[in-house]
Amino acid sequence: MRRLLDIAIDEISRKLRHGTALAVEALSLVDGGGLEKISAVASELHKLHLEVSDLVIEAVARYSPVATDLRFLKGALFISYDLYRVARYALDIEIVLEKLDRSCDLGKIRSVLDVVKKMLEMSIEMFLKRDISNIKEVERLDDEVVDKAYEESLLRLLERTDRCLVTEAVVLRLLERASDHAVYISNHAYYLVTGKTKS
Amino acid sequence: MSEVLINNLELWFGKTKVLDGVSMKVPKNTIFAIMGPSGSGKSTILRVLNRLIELIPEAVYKGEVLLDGQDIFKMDLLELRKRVQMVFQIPNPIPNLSIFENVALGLKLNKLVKSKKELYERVKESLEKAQLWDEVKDRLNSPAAKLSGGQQQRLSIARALAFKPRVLLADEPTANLDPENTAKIESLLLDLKKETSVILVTHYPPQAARVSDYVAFLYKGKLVEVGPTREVFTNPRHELTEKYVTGKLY
Repeated sequence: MRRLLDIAIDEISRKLRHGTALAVEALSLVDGGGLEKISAVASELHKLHLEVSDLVIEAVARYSPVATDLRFLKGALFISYDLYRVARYALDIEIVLEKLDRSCDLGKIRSVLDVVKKMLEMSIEMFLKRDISNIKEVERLDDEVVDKAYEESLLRLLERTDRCLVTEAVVLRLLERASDHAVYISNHAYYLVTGKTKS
Repeated sequence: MSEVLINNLELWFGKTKVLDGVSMKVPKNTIFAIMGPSGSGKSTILRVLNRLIELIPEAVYKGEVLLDGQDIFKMDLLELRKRVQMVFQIPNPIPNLSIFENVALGLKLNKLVKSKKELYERVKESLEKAQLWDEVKDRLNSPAAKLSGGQQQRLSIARALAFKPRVLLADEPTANLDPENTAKIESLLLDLKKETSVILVTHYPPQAARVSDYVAFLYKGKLVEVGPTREVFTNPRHELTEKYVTGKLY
């Protein structure tokens, strides 16, 4: 038997999956996509966050959800905001590249961008499929790739200062924040599945 | 010491086992909800707690039930019934008796008051605790049958409270009430727990979630899970509980 609440949960799940595609698109538009396009995606994600909030509130009011249903709705509310924040970081990165220097070697930034996109996709799938088997991998990518890239960039910046190194450090800092949101999403998946908060 | 302690309670109606090794503690001054689908044994537990079960000839039970450390099966039955009162799904005031007499009757029959003044004070106090006094104080001599369904249920509660019970058993007390009267009874139960432990049987999980401090989930005569209400409704430990509270147990 399909419950009325399941219809709401399916609709919210569709929106979260679409939102993830938009957040990944925003990161893909960095370095050449143009401010306007990324800004439009961020606006769309903000709208989607409000839509998810409305659906969550309506589901709570109508169906008195408990247990995994309640944990799903709580997670969805946070995740829709996480996705919006990622798009905002993409916009900030594009602004930095525009203002500082686009002619630098952006190889490191591009590789970290790809990792963050992968983390987002893994995290949302864990949440939607209630399968947290990839949680350690998401944490590893955050610690060993994204955070490490930012730290190394900072150390290089301390040794010598030039425009390209500043650009790289600032952008990697923004990507490190976006990566944290991917980790938050995986933590919501952990909470959904286990009922426990991941510290 | 807990107010009510049930240890390994088993009960048969003839050859049918309806309670299978149920154990639970009901702490003092709490609302303890027992929820479960029809036929899970929830109401049967209440009938054991005040020994109404003994009115059913084919009922056989074993196990231990302690009230403040005392074995209820060894207690004087009248003493037990004074300490453990019950309200039922269908309000059951005596229709041709007045509102006042409905509350006063038990006190008079059991000689629990010494004067008319004391009787009046005790009836008034019970009606106040049941949040009915303001609505009936000017018509205490009217027949109870003239009250609305919600008022009749609160009158039934007042009648139970007149005995100053240690435990109030409430067997789906709002099942026949509209949302407004349901809200009044739920609010009343929250007030009552300051003085009385309340054991509430409900087949409606949102009600258990709203009003109880602890909740037990019973299924086919077995206790599946018991714990603080917040935990059971946000992170049930047992898959059956998860299915029941989310409406997937079919």
